[in-house]
Amino acid sequence: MAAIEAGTGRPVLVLGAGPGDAAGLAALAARFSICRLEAGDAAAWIAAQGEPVGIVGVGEAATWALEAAAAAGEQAKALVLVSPAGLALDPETGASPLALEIRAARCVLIGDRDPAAAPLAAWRRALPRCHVVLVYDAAAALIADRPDAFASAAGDFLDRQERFAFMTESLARA
Amino acid sequence: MKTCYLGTGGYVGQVAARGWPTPPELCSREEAVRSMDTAIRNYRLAEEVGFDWVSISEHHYSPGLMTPNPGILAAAVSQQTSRVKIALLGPLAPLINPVRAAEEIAMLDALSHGRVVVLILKGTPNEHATYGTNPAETREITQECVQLIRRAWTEPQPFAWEGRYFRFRTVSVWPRTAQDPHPPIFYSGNSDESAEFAGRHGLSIAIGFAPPPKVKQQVDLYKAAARAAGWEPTHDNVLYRGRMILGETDSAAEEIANRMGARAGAAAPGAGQGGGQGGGDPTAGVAGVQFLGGPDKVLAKARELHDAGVGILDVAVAGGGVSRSLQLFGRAFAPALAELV
Repeated sequence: MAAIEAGTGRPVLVLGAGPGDAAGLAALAARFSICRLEAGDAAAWIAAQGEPVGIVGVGEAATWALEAAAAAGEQAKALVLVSPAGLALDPETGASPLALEIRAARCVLIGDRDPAAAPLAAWRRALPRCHVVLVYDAAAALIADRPDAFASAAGDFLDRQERFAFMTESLARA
Repeated sequence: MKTCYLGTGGYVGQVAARGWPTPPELCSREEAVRSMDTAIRNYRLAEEVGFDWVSISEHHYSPGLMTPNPGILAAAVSQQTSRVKIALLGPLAPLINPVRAAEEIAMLDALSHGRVVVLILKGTPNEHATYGTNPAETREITQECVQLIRRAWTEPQPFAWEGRYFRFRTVSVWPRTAQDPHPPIFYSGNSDESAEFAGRHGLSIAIGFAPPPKVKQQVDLYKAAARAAGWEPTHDNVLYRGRMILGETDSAAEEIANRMGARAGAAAPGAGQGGGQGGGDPTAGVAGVQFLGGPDKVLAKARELHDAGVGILDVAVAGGGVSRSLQLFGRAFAPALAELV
């Protein structure tokens, strides 16, 4: 298993990220203990953590991430798909059959310059009950285009799931 | 060619000193009420005499244009008129919450039965001091703001926005706009970059106070960018804003201008600083008057602008009484300009 680990905090498994995503993953590693897998047994890594985990699937690894989340059951707390591609969808409902099997809170990050961003509503059909985050000024290489935006949105969702709409930064100044 | 009356919501009382910001203690509470009544009356008159649109700008901390939230005045106007388009020219992107603006404008579109037009502007330097905006960021803020507002109006499902200047984790605007897919959106066409941005993103443009050759240059840039993006703007996509002193004859207009010039010369230092991109105080002087003369002369200028690509003429009438100017404008121009298509 080719695993690259970084950071401290609750465990997050990152599937499918490439070398161009290094800055975004480094920003995420400031909040979480991340493990980036390029191939291998995701389920085994999750089981080995012995605590709730977050899962991030990038691009074509969306299906892999959904499979890992489905296999992990309750142990997968949050699933974030970034510029997902290649998902098999039910032709009648537009939903991913895999998505119906997962228990994790789910979120999709899409760049506004990514052709897949139109229409956003399709992602809510593909992944029922998912949150859709439109990342401004980003194309399909979203993490490389907006590393801080990725780390902020994905990090807040991994941390707080549906409550990510509530900000934790204070407006108060010293 | 369509005509648009730019009302100012200006203070109708006397102000000893203006400048920017103007101290609130100089504002009589009674005159503030009377000013709003006057503004509404003028908008109603504009509709009666044949204007196609009326417009309301966003400005702050000054008696010249007392419309810090143009949507509030627009809402009142929507209930006093029935035909004219109501153009919000701001809102000022760096000063607003874009999602709140999208909600309010959608509400206004419903209130007015689909008569709203909106121009998102970045504002003038003094306005960036209103709420402590960094002027260096205003162009990018405005570009992001326009795209967020358009998304907020068109996405059928809730979404989150992770921008460079705006972050909203839940956007789900109610009501939807009465117009489908949304009210027409204008963008500044004054600079090359903004004209090209508008063309690239399918927006209409507004050009203020420039001479016709410059207007043509900006329209050509805009159209080239639009064609590259796969669409073709028409005259209806180009608005021109100017100040007008209109007389029954050229010499009558010049006499009004001379009186105004004398008055502006006697004004306190700093007078008129609330103006600029959005229109300023049209009675602050005559140096920035684009239309000066009797009907024939002013109509010739309008034709020149039409030839440059302008389809909507947005005028602030200055001097000689707004009511008189509106009536003269409606009588002398509305039919003639309507023939320019």
